[in-house]
Order: sequence, then C-alpha cells, then structure tokens
Amino acid sequence: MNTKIARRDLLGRAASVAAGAAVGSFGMFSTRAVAQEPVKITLWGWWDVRMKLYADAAVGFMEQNPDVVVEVVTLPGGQDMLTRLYSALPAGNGPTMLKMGEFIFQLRDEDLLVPFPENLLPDNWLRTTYPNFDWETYGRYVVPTGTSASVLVYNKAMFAEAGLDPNTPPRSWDELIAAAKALTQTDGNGAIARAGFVPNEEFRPLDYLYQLGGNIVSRESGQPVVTFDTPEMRQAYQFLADLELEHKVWSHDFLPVGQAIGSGAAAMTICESWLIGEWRDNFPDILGDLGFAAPPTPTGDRDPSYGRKSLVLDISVMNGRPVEEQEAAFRFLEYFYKERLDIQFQLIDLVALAAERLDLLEDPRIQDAPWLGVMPEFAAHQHDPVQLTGDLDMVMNDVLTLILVSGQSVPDAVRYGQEQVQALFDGGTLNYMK
Amino acid sequence: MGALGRCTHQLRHGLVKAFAMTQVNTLNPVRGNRRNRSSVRRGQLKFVAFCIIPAVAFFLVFRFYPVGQAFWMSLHDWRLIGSNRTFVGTQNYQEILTDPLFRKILQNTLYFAAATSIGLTISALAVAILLNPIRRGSTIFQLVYFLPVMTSTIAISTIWLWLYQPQFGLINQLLRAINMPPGTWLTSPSTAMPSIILMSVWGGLGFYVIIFLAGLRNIPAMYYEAAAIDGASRYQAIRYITIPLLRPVITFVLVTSVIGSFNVFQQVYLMTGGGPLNSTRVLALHIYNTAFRNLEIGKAASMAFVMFAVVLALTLLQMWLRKADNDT
Repeated sequence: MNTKIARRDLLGRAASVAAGAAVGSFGMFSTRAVAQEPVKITLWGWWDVRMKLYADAAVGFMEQNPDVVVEVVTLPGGQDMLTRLYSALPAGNGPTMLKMGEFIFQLRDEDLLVPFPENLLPDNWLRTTYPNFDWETYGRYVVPTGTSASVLVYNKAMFAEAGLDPNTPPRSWDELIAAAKALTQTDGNGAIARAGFVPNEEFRPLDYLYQLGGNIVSRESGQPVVTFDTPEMRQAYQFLADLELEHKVWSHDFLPVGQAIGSGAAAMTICESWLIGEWRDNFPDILGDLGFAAPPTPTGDRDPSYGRKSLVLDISVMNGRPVEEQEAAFRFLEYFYKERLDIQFQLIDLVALAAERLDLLEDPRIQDAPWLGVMPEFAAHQHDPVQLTGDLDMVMNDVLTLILVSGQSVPDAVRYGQEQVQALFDGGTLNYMK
Repeated sequence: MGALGRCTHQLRHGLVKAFAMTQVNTLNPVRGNRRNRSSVRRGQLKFVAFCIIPAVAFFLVFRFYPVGQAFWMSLHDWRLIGSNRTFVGTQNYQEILTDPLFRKILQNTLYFAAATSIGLTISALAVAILLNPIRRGSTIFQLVYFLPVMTSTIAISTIWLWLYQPQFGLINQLLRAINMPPGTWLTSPSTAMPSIILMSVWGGLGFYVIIFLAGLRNIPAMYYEAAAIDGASRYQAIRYITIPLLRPVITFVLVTSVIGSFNVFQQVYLMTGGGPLNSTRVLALHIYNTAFRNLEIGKAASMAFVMFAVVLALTLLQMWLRKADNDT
C-alpha cells in the first residue's frame, strides 16, 4: 500500500472540507449584511433604580427612532464598574455611553470621551440651561443631573421622645452636641445602643473643615499646595474625636450612617442628600419620621460655608466606538435633555438633589417635595471640591483611626495625613481638586 | 449523512488509516527487521505528536504566552488604556522593591500566608484525628466541615463582616454576655489581619480535613495495635506514629495552603479594603489597585512577577526541607 498517496488523500479531503465551511459562512454573512440593521448603542451605569429611569427614556427614544436600539446595562458601582470598563475598552467591547462619576477626569485625560457636538447640543443652549455648571473645569463632556448637598437629617419621633422640639433642629455645634447627648442611649454594658449623632463615613472631616473656613488644597499661587495640616483641620478632627471620647454620643466602629439612621440606631447625622434615596429604597418606613435642616455650623451662621456638596453627573459618550454609534448616542442625549424633563425631575427627586437645570429650579414640584425645596439653598452655601477619590477617603479614615484607636494626638495624626495627601497630589490623582 | 457527518467520518477514516500506516510495515515480510523497527517508531512518534499537539498548543496560547506577555509589560511603562508603552527595563522592579509601602504589603502577605497555612494545617489535622475513629455518620461530619469550602468567599466575607461588627455583631454580643471585653476586630490595625486570618482558616478548614482523613485512613491499623500492646498513650501514638507517617500529606497541605494564601484577595477587598492604616493590604489587592485604579499595568505586572518569585522560593524551600527530612 502506498503511504504517500494515502497521506495526500487525507490532506486533500481535510482541505476541501475547510474550504467548504469557509464558503458557507461567507454566504451566511453576505445574506445578513444585505438587510439594514438598526444601530445598537449601549449605556452603562450603576444602581438599578436609577438605570430604570434611563431605560424608560430609551424606550421613548426608540419609538421615535426605530433605526437605533438603546441597551441600558446596570453594573455594580464604584471600582467594580471601572474595572470592567478598563478591561472592555482595550478589547473593543466598551459602552457607547457611560453614566459619569468622579472618574470623569481620568477618562477625559485619557481621551476616552467625546465632547457634545455643536449641532445637537449647542453651547449657548447648554450654558443657558445649566447656568451654574463649571464648564471651564468639566468641559462639554457631560451635564450635571443635580447637586447633592450636605444636610442635617434628624429623627423627629426620637426628638419628641427625648423631650426636644422636633421643629427646632440644632443650628450650632454646641446645640448639636447637647441634642446628641439627650438622644444617646446605652445598653446594660455601657455600649451605645442608639447614637445621638453619626457623622457621615465618607470624607468625614470635610464638612466641618469647610464650615471652619479651611480646605485641603490651596490654588492661590496657581500650583496646588496641600493644606491638610492646618488649625482648621485639627479642629475638625478634634470635633469628631470628641464625639466619641468626650461626649460619648457615637463610636467610630458604629454602623454606617445609612444603616444607622434607616434602622433607627441613630438619631441625627450630617450627610449628603443622596442618602435620602437609599432610605427611600431600603428603609421606606423611616422616611416619615425624618426631618431635614441646614447643617449645624460652629457659630450657627451659614458663613463661611454649610459644608460640602458634590455634583452628580449625567451621561458622557465614549470615544473609540464607531462614528454611527456616537452619532446615535448624541441623538439620544438630545432627546433625553430636550424632551424628557419628566425623567430629569425623577432623577433629582430620586436622590434629593438640588436641581442644576434652570427650568427645573423654577418647577413648582420642587417646592412641593419635602426635601427638594431646601436643597438649592443649602447647596448655594456649600463648597464643591470637584474631585475626591477613594484613596483620599482612606487617608482621612486612617487619620481618625490613629486618633481613636492608636491613641495618637490630633496634631500628630493630622501631620501623618498631610504626608499621605501630599503623596496623592504628587501621584497626580487629585489634579482637579479645589 | 449531512456535511458535518461526512466531514467527521472522513476525519475519523483518515486517522485510522494514518495509524494503520504506522503498523503496516510490521506486517511486510519483505523488509529487513531494523528498517521495520525504525519505520514503526517514526510512525508511532508521528501519531503521538499528532495527539499531543492540541494540548501543547492550548498551554502555549493560554498559559505561556500570557506569562511572556506579562513579563514584557513589566519591562515597560505600560498604561492600561491609551497607547503609552515606553520601554523602561527593570525600572518598575527597582521602584517597587524600594517602595516602603510595597515592603509592608509583602510583609502583610507573608504574615497572612504563614499564619493561615500553619493555622489550617494544625486545625485540620486536629479535626481529622478527632473524626478518624468515627465510622458511622462520618460523612455527615465531613459534609458539615466542607460546607464553608463550597460557599462563595464573598458570601462568607459578608457574613463575617456582620459577625465582626463591634456594636451589633454576634461575636461581641456573646463576649459581652459572658462579661468579656468586646474585640476591635476589623477596626484596629493590630486585630484586623488576625480577624481575616481566623475567617480564612474557618473557610478553608474542611478541604484539608478531607485530605488528612484520607491520609489517616491509609495508615495501617497494625501500627496502632502494636503501639497499644507496648503501652503507648494516645498522645504518643499521634506523636510517634501518626505525624511521621503523615509527613508527606502535611508537606502537601503546607505547600498548597501557602500558595493559595498568597492569592488572598476577595475577603480583604470586601471586608477592609486594605485598611485600617494598610494593615491588611495584601499583594493581590495592591496589584489589582495598581492595574485597575492607577492604570499602571506595567508596574502591576512587575509586582506579579515578584509575587511569583516569592512563592516559588517558598515552595522550593519547603520541598528542600522535606527532602532533607526524608534523607535523615
């Protein structure tokens, strides 16, 4: 038997099978290409309750634009979403649009965002509709959904139970501490069972720092100078430390503020207004007992500041996607921002934001909602640091740990914080902080 | 028969013919014996190569190529996104090895690996020795110990986060109930890592109990019978019979638990995020943050190779110690 012929025969049969498969698949693709498919665009974001509102807008847009399919994808928030984004982008699987957060500057600096086109979202329309937005810092890459202001949240039922007037919330730090002491309850072992006051666990000292007129960074000279170790910052940390060490109205290892207020384990907090959305979502029964007021300040006056606020950003269009996808995405945004004011209102109502759109500021529904009406006034007297990161939050918590757990003095701990924050600025992760 | 069926049939027919060709010369009475053997051997080698190629290709593509690519990345200032890829040689390695934070992270990781592996080995061996005499119902006990192994680490971490909650967590409530001071657990730099180690030992215990049980049941009963006749106590039987005969299993458990512990990530990511004060920041978490938060994938790749070198050194050390022990 001739082995060479047998081998040739085997190779020949294998080659013919492969060629046939290739011809068949080409035929299938050709058939598919003939029919015009709609352009598919995707929107990535976090928090399913909010993304459902965007999905409702997408349904309305697709009814008017059958040549576009909008897919809204809800992902885990924070670093998890960014990890998925950074993995998908090099592979070409990234989204067309992205719900923005504080990471906008990182994406913009990497040239991953596309600015709004003048023909669909003209500059004069944007600046007229969002007159207070910092266009110089953010650029034409995103518009704000609204502003999350710091607010005093207090449980009126607990106030009445403790003999305090539920319609007269504290206005100064001294009044806050007096009320917190009256509201604090301990168990048989002396542990705090109900905290009179729980400070927000994110960027803890910032509210108090801004109320004292301080800041972490100074840009007066044009270059950023880290001003973490200042008398104002020491005073802010001393205030926080005294809550636990002297007044005993809170413990640093207490429940997070969302769970503490929501479950009735705490009576008061100064927190960002978006937490109201979390209580409405997870602890709806507590909302009726909650009152909202301006954050107490050292003297009771609103100047120099009520505390910290932060912008909640909306949607940006990603670079690197096909041109037809980007064009379809901007058409969706034009529809969303010009025709769906109802969803714009729902978005700010969802997390109790101060409206940034001029037409929403004048909307009578803002005054009707128990928390929406007061937020613009608070936000107008608060400082927006623009860029805050998880690393900065960790440094701030570490400083408090040094004071409360390791027993270091406030000046020594704040000095440690100064070094760590300086390293963050040197690493370029806080280039836009104000 | 459809097209796919015809293709499969032809391929199978071709393979059979190819194999048959390797045997045909052995049946040919005309050729000399030496030529027959070399032809058969060549044919057999071809067939073996033909069968091995897919497996080798798989490892080349999915194992060796990514490792090589990662090493190439580690020699560059390579950003995760963007096109910046500047060759920097060993600069990444120099930077991380001179970074005090990286040294602390390496220290944390070694601490975790050593404590967890020793804790797992001792506790798993103790539980296996206790379970070994039990015959009826032993499967139930093994299942109970193995349940945490089958449970997702994220789920376990979430539960333990609540157990460790200083005010309302179950552990501190039990301690207060018996008039003992509550623990600081995850909130203090001195207790955060031991808390995670405790949780990790609890989570991995069942797997090694099963391994030790298998080893124990391979020890012939006659050794224990002889020891009993000589008047040895239970402790002496364990010390002079069980542990020496289980030495290979103990080595295996130590090596695998050390290697596994170096990859700790999920529980630290969820429970502490590396804090407080970097006391629980471990290598895998730092590599993740460097790659996906700071977008410095070149530097992250160099950290991964440092981790590989450390794990390899530890493994070789353990192998050498075991060999030295066997030789004596």
